[in-house]
Amino acid sequence: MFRVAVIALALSLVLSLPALRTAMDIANGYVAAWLVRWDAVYGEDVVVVTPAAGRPEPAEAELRQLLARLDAAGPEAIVVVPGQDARTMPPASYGETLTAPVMTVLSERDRRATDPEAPRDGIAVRPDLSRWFGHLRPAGPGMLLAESGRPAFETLVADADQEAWWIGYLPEANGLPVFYWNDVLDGHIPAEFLSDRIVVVGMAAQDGAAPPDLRFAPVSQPVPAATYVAQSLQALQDGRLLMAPGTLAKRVIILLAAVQAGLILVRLRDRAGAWIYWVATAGIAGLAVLCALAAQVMFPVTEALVAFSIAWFAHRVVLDANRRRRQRRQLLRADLATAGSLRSRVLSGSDWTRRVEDSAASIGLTGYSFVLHDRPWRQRVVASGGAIQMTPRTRRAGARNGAGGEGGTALLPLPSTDFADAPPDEEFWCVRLRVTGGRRGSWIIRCPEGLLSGSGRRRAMLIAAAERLLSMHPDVPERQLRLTLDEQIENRTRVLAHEAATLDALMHISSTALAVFDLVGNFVRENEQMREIGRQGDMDFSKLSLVETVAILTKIDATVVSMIFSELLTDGESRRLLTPGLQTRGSYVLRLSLDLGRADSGEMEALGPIVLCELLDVTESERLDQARRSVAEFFDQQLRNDFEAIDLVFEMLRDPALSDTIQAQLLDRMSAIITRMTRRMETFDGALWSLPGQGGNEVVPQELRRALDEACDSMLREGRFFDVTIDYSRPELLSLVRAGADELTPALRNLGKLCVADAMRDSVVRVSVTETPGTVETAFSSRGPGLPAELVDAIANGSGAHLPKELQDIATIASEARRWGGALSIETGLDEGITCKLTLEKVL
Amino acid sequence: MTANRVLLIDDDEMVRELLALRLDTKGYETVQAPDGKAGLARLREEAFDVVVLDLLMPEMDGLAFLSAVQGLEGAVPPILVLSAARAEQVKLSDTDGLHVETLRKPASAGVILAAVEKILKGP
Repeated sequence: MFRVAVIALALSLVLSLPALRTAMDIANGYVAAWLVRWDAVYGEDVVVVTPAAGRPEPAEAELRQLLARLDAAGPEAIVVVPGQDARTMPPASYGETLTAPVMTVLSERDRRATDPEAPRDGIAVRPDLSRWFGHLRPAGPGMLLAESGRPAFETLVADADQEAWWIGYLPEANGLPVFYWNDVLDGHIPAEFLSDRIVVVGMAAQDGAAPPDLRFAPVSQPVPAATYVAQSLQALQDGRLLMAPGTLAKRVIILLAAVQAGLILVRLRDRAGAWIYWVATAGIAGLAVLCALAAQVMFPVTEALVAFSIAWFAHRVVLDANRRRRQRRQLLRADLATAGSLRSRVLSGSDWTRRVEDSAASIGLTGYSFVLHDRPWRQRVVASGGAIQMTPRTRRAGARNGAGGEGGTALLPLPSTDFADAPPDEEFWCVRLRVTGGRRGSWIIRCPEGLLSGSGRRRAMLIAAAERLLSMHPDVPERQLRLTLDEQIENRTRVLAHEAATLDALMHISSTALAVFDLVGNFVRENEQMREIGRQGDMDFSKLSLVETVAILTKIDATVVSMIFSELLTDGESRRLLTPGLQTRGSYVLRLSLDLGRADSGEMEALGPIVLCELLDVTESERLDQARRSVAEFFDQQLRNDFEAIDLVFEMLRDPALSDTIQAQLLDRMSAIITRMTRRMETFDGALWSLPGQGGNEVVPQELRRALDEACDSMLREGRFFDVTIDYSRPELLSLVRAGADELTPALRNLGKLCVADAMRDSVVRVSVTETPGTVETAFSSRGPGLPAELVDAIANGSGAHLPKELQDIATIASEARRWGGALSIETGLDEGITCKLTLEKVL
Repeated sequence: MTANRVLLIDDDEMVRELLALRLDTKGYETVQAPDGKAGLARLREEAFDVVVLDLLMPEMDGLAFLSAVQGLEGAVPPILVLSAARAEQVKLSDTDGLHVETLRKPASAGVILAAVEKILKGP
């Protein structure tokens, strides 16, 4: 009997050995000096390894051995959380020998220790392992776990374009995005960012206060456990928030509360499954012993067969139990990932492509590029230009371009697209937002005007996109989608614009002409100009913050100054502020402008958008502005008189009772008018078109010429008077006018100037030359009051015998053009301006 | 029958002469003045039936002329003010005791002629 029992037990153990070893590996508990947890992180089977508290950290060899053992259990990934001194951080080479990717979560101190150049606070995953994060589908902004309450949100956004990947992990959260409570209180995380799937873990507020718009009850310490549990349960039932206190006792309480709420079953089920295995194994072994005892009366062969059968069935029972446990765990993970929903489904690649396109359209992205990961080695880009299947080669090329700066791309970790526990043979997807852009910190997203221009709105847009993608989860109710898109974006935009102002405008400011400020608005470097201004105004700017400085210079309230910064970052439009606070001889304007792409370091590193603060000496500018206005008014009035006179002449010429004498006088007057206009335009032309150092009309004073030049630039730039065909710059336009005049006749040149003169009257002039294989067409057109139709008809018909000489020349050109197969067409009218188009065969 | 006398005050010689030519052909007797100051001097010396006044002029513009003409002794003839679009917004507030009509520029000679005739006919 004893022999049978021993045989049965041995066979049972041997047959159960693979499952037993797996169970040992995956079971939670201490393994040597390590705390090993098998957990579901973002829907994946992940083993988390961390040195056990209170025990000496194991040697590297032990870690390597442990990782190998864990890897044999087939997890999706292994996460290593090093100990305090980071000695156990596994080298990157570990990942090359293991099947599962190994990720190392570094604390800020660890990261500093290993990489002194690390620019930011927070927890970073080593870059060489970042490629696995697409595989793991990070949960997006807010998932970052900051061990010491660091500004996770800021860090995440600021480094999103550096391909630095961030991960947050906390077993209690079961893969839900994690915020630290202190971050919320400190304002690093906008309240709107806390959505239904956000779990906040951390210490409660010291004063018990919470931002008023948070949708949960604040918990202060100390608080009775029952109250805490009740509040937490209520929050969980509301699907809102879970706050875990820092003490172990309360953590246990909240875990129990979470279990009661049905949210944290996975890990406990896992643990229970391990216990079930052990109990079942012991029970089966005991049963085998009993069976052997009962069969002791039988002959040895039967005894052996019975023992073997018992052991075999026991082994199957254990394996089936383990399989069912794993299946149940997968279902539970799906439930967690869908925030309580019982149903989930797997989306195909085309489903995701369509969802991305719909999402981009719904949030107004007119230019976008999403990267869908179906396998770590295969990506698909869904861009505004259509879906592109990326091969490893194209992906590497894209990565190189992205790191190259100008015209590259930036990757932004997006919220989890963790939608289901995909069967092994199904594709699973991860969506990241690829923001096209130029240099670091200058992402470019094309979107409807007003929605996205400045830093704050850009961030809001990114976050809205992230939120939108998060909301694309197939089991998220439609109502929530609408809320997210229709109601929350505006609020988020506003809040984040303000947030960006405080984070960027007030922290990332330097100046070119004024001074340089550090990240908190203090002076780092004063230039001589600033010191002189300070001396004149008896001010010491070095002791003032940036807001205070601007407030003093402009005599604007500091609150308003902050709002100005916020608006500046929102719309990107530069501001000019008067400086009544400056007691200086000159006239200065403080210009605040946004430089999104400033990457040169100079004396300080500029990581994000830079607000340039410059003091501009506008004394000269004001004088030129005045001269420009005077010149414009002068020419405007003179030309109005000329056209008025022309109108009078032609009105009188229409009088049938007009005597020959009067008609002759009128024609003389017309000739005089044309001559006068031509002279004025010559003056204007000489001043307007003369380039410095290239001669010009010496009659025109240099100052007037500069003023006219300014006026011309202004008109060209603002399009107020001239709407020159954009293809032509001012010198090109000048060359066209002159070339047209030189190559044709002085009369046509005059007519062209008439167009220019016409355009001076708040109208539009277009000058264009169209060259075809057979013809050259020079056209001047304006859309001002224009010339009288009778005059134009007379010119175009070539019947201008009674016209002044200048216009007769044009009429002659028209006749000649027709005779040679060309044409001169003139379209004009009081409301249509002048269009003089001469088409000549090239043979001419 | 004595021809109606019209004082044309405009700084633009071309416009002034063309208007005078037009009015002369219709039987009016015209006198020209290049600015308000010269027009005021002619008005002190001679009698006119109507004054055609441009507003924007050097030396003394139309508004200054209107103000100064109120200090003249004797009756002041009706004044037809030609105001360009920009000057149109100038309010002729200080015209008590004067018969002032306004006409927006640019105005054709026919319109100006009709306005002059209307003024001379009276209400």
